Amino acid sequence: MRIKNAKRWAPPGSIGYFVALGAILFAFIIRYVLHDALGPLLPFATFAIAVLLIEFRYGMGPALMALALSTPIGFYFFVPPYLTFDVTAADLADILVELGYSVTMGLTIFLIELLQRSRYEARLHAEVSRTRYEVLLRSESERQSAVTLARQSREHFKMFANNVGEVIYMKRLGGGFEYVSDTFAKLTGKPVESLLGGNWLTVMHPEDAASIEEQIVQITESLQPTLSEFRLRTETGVYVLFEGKMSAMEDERGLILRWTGGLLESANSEVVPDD
Amino acid sequence: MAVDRSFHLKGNEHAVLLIHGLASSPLEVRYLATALNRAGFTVSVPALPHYGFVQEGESCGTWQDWLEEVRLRYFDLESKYQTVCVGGLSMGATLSLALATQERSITAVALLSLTLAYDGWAVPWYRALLKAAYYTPLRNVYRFHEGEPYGLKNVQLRKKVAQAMSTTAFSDIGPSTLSMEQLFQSSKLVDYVVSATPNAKADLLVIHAVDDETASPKSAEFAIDKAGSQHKRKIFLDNSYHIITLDNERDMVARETALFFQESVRRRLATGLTQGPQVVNEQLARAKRLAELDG
Repeated sequence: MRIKNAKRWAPPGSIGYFVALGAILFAFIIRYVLHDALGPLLPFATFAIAVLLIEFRYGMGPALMALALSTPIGFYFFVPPYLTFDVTAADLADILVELGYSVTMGLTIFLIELLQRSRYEARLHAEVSRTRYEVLLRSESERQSAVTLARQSREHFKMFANNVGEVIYMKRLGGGFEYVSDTFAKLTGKPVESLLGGNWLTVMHPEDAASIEEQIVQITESLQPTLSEFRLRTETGVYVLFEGKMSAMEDERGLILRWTGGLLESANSEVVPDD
Repeated sequence: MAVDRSFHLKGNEHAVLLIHGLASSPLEVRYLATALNRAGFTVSVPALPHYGFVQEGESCGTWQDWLEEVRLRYFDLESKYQTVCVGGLSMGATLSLALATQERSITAVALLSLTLAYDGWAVPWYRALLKAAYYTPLRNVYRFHEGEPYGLKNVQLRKKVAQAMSTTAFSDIGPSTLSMEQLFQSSKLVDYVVSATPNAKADLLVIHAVDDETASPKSAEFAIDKAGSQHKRKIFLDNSYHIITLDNERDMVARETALFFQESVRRRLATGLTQGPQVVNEQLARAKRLAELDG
């Protein structure tokens, strides 16, 4: 993906233009001092260095300005005949040097600009990648915290559920039981695993089993939690009367996730011997 | 008469003050405000009379007026809540940073699309000349027109905003034009913030789109480099433009801002139980200032 702001790689503001003016002045002074030794040789050498440095540090605008200033200054002061802009009086070779300077520097500015934009674009891409990586790490850290919290919450729930007299259970939507507290196992004398799914009906009195299944269907359709009574066979082989209730567990949007409820020994409980 | 779009979302004892963009309205940070509120924070998004939307011909005041308006809202929250975080979008981020350079008690600052220079890729070349043009008769007639892409990379949202701007002077992302006075005052505010940024000590979150068409990422880099905050976080987005609170990555902006504020609040609660004499003196001065403002 191309980043359009890559062209903003250089320092913002007008500082680059002021530095360019200073650099051209400095380059002129150096070339002027060396003029006696160099004569007509390398009339644009110091300007070329200045323009390249300006482009490298401050970008295309200041560099083009430096090039535009240095071309006539160099021609006027350091291309014979000196102190004139008369092109017809100059040698063809000198004019070619002048043209070569402008074209070469223009092309060099363009290429350095492209490289600098690519470099800045790569840096921005790296910053985005770093951001994504950090966001990912934070998300993973949050996920792990959530998993730990959920596990702790589950442990707390189990601890409470297994230490109250009431049998607590959770039932899947349209499916069997996914959780039954240990109280149920203690009561029936069967391991919890054997009671999951639809197996718990095996400990119910045969006369109640059919009506209970029917009531469950009614609750899931009406969404009204109701109480019902039924007999369960205990560890000792006798049937005890229980009150059961079931209600919907919803998420924040009101969607039903599962059914939950409890079974409590009925106040009218009477022990019925196993037939 | 202008419609007051300010809103306050009640949450816990930790508050967030959100500042919208220049001449805009609280609508542009509503999504973020709701997300912060869901994370538990009490969120206040005021519509500031001078800094917000003003009708053509009305005065927008000075940048100092804008800062005082924000400060007043901040003091109000600070007097009622245990901690206060401040966040802003665009020039609202610049104002938030300005406030953070002066108010040491701010817990954290979120700078979203911080604008310290109008140097994004879509800013016209003559935009740099407008500061100088303020000193000419142009200041009374010229208005800077908001144009494509309206700070939005999301094409559907952009179409909606373009339609709103073509029919009215206002949309969810702000006005269709800005006066020279507003631009001038914002540049003065930027001048102040650029010089004062090292004084900002609050935890600092900077979120910026790398292709922000209004302010290039250099503004974000400046704040991160120069702010005196101990805890800084920089987030660069690559699928949004300037209005990051409404654009494609608004979910990430909301989540990361909430997360950063929660971390800062936890840090503040863990370490901020003892207050040095300087903080106490600042609080006394602030109480005096509040009394003056009320009076």
